[in-house]
Amino acid sequence: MTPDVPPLCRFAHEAMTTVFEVVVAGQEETYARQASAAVFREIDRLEGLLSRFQPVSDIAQINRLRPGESLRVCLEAFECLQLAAQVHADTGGAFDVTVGPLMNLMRDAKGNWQRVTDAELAAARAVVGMERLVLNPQDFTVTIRPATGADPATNVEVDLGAIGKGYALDKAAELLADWEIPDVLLHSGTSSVLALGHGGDAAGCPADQRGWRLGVAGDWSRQAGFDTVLLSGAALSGSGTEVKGQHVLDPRTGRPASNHLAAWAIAPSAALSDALSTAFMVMTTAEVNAYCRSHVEVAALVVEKRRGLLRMLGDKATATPAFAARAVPPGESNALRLEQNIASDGKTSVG
Amino acid sequence: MSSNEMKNVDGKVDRRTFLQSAAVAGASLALSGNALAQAVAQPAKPNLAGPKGIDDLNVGVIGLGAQGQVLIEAASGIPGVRFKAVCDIWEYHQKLVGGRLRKTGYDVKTYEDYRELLAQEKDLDAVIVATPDWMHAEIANACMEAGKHVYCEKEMSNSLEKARSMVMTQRKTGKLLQIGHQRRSNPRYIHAIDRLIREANILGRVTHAYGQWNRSIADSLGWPKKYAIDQAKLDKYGYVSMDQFRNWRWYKKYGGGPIVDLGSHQIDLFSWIWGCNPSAIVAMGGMDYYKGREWYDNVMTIYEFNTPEGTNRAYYQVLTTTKRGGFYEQFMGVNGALTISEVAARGDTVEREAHAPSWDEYAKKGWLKPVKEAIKPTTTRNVAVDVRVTAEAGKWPLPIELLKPAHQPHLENFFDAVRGRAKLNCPGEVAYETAVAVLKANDAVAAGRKLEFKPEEFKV
Repeated sequence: MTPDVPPLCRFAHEAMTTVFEVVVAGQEETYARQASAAVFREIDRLEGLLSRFQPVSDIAQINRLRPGESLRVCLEAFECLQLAAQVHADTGGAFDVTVGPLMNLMRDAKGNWQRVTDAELAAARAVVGMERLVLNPQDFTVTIRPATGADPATNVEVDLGAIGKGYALDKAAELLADWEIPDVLLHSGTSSVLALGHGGDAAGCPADQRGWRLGVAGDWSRQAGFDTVLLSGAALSGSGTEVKGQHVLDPRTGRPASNHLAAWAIAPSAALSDALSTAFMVMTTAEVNAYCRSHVEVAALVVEKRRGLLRMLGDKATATPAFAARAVPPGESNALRLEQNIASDGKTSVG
Repeated sequence: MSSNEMKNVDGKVDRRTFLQSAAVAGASLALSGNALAQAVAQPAKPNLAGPKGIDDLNVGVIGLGAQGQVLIEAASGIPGVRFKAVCDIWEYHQKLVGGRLRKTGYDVKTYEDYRELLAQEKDLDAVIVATPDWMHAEIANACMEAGKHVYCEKEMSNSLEKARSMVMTQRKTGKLLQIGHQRRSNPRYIHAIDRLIREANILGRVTHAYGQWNRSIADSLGWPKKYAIDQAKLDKYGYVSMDQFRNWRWYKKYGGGPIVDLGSHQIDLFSWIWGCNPSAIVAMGGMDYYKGREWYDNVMTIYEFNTPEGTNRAYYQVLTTTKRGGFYEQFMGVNGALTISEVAARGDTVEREAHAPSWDEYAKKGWLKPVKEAIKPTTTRNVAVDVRVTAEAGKWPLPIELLKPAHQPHLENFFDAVRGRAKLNCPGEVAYETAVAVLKANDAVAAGRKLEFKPEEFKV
C-alpha cells in the first residue's frame, strides 16, 4: 500500500435534512474526494427532484395536483413511486408514502399521539392511500384519483422521506460504479447504509471476511449476543421508537404501530431496505417472517416489544454465511460502529 | 461481466439483477394500478417519439454537462418538447443523458460532434446550446445557418467579436436566438422589476443596486478514470487537457471566470431596472486563493449608470471562498428596498422606508402581500431578548411564487416564440449588451482603473 492510498477516506455532506457520508477504501485520496463530490452533487440534484419541501420538485408538484390531473415526472421520481407502490403491495399496505394526513391527525405539534374520534380517523383515511396515485410507465405520468370520503377533491400528500434517502444511496452507487470504486460504504445519516465490496483491515474486515463490518442495535443486540453484521453488495436500514413513545403509524389501521421497538431490513437496494425498515416496524413478527420467506433477497432484524429480544428473520439471514449479511461473534473489535441508539431517535451513527 | 459489476459474496442475488427485476415488477404493478383509474379523466398523452403533432417541437441539445442537464430537466416539463438528439464530445455525458432520456420515452440519438448532429438531424425545430462559452458562437451560428432556432446559454461568448457574430447570424437567418438569462422570464422578477419598480415606482428613485453570488471553496472537478478523453480527441476539440475540459470555467481560453459565470445573471438585472446600459466601471479582484487556475476567484465591481434621474451605482461581488449570504439581488430606492433571489427563501421582500407614501393600495391590488405583524419582543427564562417573531417589521413579501424549475419559464418563452405565439424575453441583441457590461469587469480588474463605456459599444 503506497502512502497515496490511505486505508479509508471519509467525506460528509448535508442533504435531505441529514448528513450523508461516503467511506472509500483502497483509492487515492484526491480521486476518492472528487468521486465523493460527484456523489454529493448527484444527491443534491435528487433532493431537488424528490423533496416535498422544495416547491419546484416533482413531488411538490404532485402534491399540488387536483384529483383527475396528471403530471409527467422525471425518471427518478417515477422510480421512487414505483418502488413505493411495490412495497405497499408486497407488505399489504404497511408502507405508504401518502400517509401524511393521517400522521398530522394522530400527532400533535410536538409529535405526541393524541385522541381522535372514529369519524376524524375515517375522514383522514379516506384521503390517504397509495391507490390514489396512478403511475403510468408508458409516459411517466402520475395521475391523482379522487379521495373516497366526503371531499373527493382533496389533494394527495406524497412524502418520500422513508424511501428517498435510500434511493439516493442507490443512485450514488451507480455513479461510483462509473468511477470504478468497488469498495465503498455509503450512508444517509446512518438510517440507511449501503455497503459495496470490501472495507479491508481498516474497516475491521480481514481478507477472509469480505465486506464491511457494521455494528447494529446497541444494547438490544448485545443482549441477544449479536452486535455486528458483515455487509457487502447489500443495504441495511433501521427504524426505531423514541423514548417518549412510538412515532410510527400503521397505515393499515391508522393507529400507532406497536409491534416492534426497532426494526432493520437488509436488502439488495437501499431504497428497498429504507422502505422495508419502516414497514417492518408496523408488521407483526409473523408478517415480517412471511415477507422474508417470499423475498429471499431480504433479511430482517426486529426487537420484539413483548420479549425485548432481537430476532433475525428470513431463511438467508441466520444460517447462510453466503448471504451478504451475517452475524459475527460479539466483542470483536475494530468494526465500523453503527451506534444505533434506539432509545433516543432511531438513528444510527458511524463512530 | 465487467470488472465494476457489483455482486454479492455468494453471487446469487446481485444488485443489478435485483434492481432490473424490481423495475419490471414495478411496471406491471403500475399497469394494474392504471386499470383502477378508469374513473379518472385521462390526460392527453405526451407524444414523445411518434409522428409529430401540430404543437410538437423536435429539439436537440448540444452540451450535456451540469447546465445542459438542468435545461433538459426543466424542458421535460413543457408539453410538446420532444428530445430527438443530444451531443457532447464526452462519451460519459452522452451515456448518462442519452440513457436517462431513452428510459423516459424519448427517441433520442447521441452524437459526439455537433456538425454530425446537424448533418443527420434534418427535422429539428430548435437546438439548446449549453457547451463551454467559447464554443457558443460557432455552434449557435451553425445551427441558425442550418435553419434551427437556438436557445443558447449565457454568456454568449468569452469574446465580444464572437458574441457579435451571433447577433449578425441571427439577423441574416431570421431564426430566433434566445440567450439563457432566465430571470428575464421569471414571473417573480417580471413582477418585481416591471410592475413594482418600473410601473408603480414603489421604491422611488433606485439610487443603488447590489448583487452577490458567494460560494464555498470547492475542489476542481474530477472524472471517472475509464471515461478520460484521450489526448487526440481533446486536441481535435481544442481542449488542452482533461482537467481543463472539466474545469473550463477557470481558464481564459474557454470562459470568463466566476464574474461571468455567476455575475452575468445578476448584472443583467441592473440595465433592466434602469432601462439603460452602464457608463463606467471600476473593479478589483484576483486569483488569490486557488492555485493553477487562470481566472479571478474573487471580483468586486461597481458600475455607474447615468440615468435621466441622475447617476445611480450598482455594486456586485462574486466570491468563491465563502458562501456567506449566498446569491441574491437588492434594489435600493429612496422609498424602499426590494430584495429578491432566484431561490425565494433567499430573498422575496420589499422593505418600506418610514417616510414613503402608503403601500396599502398595492396590497389591495395584490401586488404586495399585506405586511405581517411588527416585532413583539418577549423575554423568556435565560434569554434576555427573544427574537422569535413571525416576520420583521416593514417587510412586504412579494405575492408571486414560481412553482416550476427556475429555467422552465425562459424555455417556455423560447418554445412559444418558436410556435409564433410569443416574443423572446432575451434575444441576442439584449444579451449582447449584458455581455459587453459583464466582460468589461475582467478588463477593469486587469486595468486597475476606471473604464468608460461608450454607448456605441453596446450596439451590433
